[in-house]
Amino acid sequence: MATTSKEITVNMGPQHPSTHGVLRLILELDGETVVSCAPHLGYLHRGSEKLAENRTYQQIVPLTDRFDYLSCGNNNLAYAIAVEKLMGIEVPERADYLRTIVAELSRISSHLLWLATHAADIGAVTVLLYTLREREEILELFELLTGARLTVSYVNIGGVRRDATPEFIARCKDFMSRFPAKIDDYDTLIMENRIFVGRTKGIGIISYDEAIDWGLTGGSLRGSGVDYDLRKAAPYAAYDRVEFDVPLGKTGDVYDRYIIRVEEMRQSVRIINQCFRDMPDGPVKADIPTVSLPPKDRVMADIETLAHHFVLVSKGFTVAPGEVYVGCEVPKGELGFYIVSDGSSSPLRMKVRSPSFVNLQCLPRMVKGHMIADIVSCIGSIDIVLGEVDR
Amino acid sequence: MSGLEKFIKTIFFWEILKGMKLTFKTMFDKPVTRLYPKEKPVVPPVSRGLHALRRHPNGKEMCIACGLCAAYCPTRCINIRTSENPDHSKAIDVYEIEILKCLFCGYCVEACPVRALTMTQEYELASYTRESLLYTKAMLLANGDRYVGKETHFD
Ligand code: SF4
Ligand code: SF4
Repeated sequence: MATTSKEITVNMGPQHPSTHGVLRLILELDGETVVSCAPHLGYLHRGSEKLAENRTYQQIVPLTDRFDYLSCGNNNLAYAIAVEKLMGIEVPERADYLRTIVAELSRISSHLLWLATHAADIGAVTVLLYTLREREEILELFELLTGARLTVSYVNIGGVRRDATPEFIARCKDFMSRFPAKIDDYDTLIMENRIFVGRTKGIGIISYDEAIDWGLTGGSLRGSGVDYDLRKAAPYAAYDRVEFDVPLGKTGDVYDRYIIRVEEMRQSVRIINQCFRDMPDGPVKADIPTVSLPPKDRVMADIETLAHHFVLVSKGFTVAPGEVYVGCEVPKGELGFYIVSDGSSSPLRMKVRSPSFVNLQCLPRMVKGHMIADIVSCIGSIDIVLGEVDR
Repeated sequence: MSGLEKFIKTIFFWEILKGMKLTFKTMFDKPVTRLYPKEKPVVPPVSRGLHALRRHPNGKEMCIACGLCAAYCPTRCINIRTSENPDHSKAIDVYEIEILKCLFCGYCVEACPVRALTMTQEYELASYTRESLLYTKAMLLANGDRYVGKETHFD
């Protein structure tokens, strides 16, 4: 019997569990083969860039937590570095190391959740149970250091908000000594698993040149073999003082992107261990009277400090007119902040270059010609967070 | 890997067995999960939970109604209204925190010049009504009384 073939349009999302949030895909399907795919965004748009225009520079820090809520430490860091560059602030060395530690811990926790959901989408739900166990430990470490588990708001303009306690350092070192063995466990579960390999190898291939043309960054770019990591290319915080490798993929398929992200976790452990080894003692906040709040003991002791505290808190500090762009390597790729200042205490314009948004545009190219089930592994492999796509 | 080895590993589902081995090993580990409402997690003293207003040792409220916490708050969820006492001192008529809007960023605690405001380890703040999540001065003071002498956020 002859069959007739007709393309149908299918709506995937915004409430599909494997679209990692509220991503909606309009799919043109020929049988099970994807003919075209169009992502529809904006379900989580909160207008963060506009909100930033009527907050003081200090008050924007908690707002940046809400971009990529899986790696808040990294977002705070990228924003703080942008403002510091605009104002020409030097950060104390201990703060640089603490920032690096928090950024790498966030990277590990983000990659753990990515691995959990990516593997679960493909059918290996077991991994989720293992990775969430370790992620919980990291969140507890964050709580010990900053007071919050997820939205840490830890990095401040001019330093970090609290110094690390000996208890935090001891527990973090202990976790770092146990963690590499756990990464091996995850590998045991899926690295050679024939279903996982079958569903990821040769799927969603992005070549070296294409990856550059699409403007990919982060794991999605390095999976295609492009050696570009902002931690090496334009070092910030303490990254120029630590040694680490940048893992690179070969074919640029979903499997390669999985391999390099797992390897990145091992490198993060290396970086954190070096930070603890090299971290000097000293202050964690830059002593710049026009920016950082004076210590509490001095506030009530003399009237000048008190008056200064009042002005800083109620008005915020002003930033000289100018503009700046700073990009940082967050778990998803290059997070950039472009800030224009008109000399007041809040930015005239703040543009956020979010890695998930740029990486997501590559999805239609990745899934074209593949089966509908491969869309799920492709979405997983570019590691998007919708909070960051829509901002 | 030689061809034969690969063949044997393939027909015996070697990598699946390896994964199973890990699963069986984990079965004898101590469980990491908690039976939540019965077993509560211990949160560290620095944890940023529900706010609390503190008192002087003589029972007088520490808050001087300067309004800095409200000014520093990114979501502007602290409402303060003041009036003048007959002896010309400042009286706090209203001090309330809309917990539903609060980010628990802890900036208000940083802003307070007299350390009147702090954050405690209370984290079970869910409620069935919006009204009960508007924390008034009395509620915040009561929460502060529970934490007298204990270490809290930014102390
Ligand atoms: S914790 Fe943050 S959001 Fe909540 S009241 Fe204090 S300053 Fe406002
Ligand atoms: S900053 Fe402190 S003293 Fe001032 S109003 Fe707020 S709680 Fe009261």
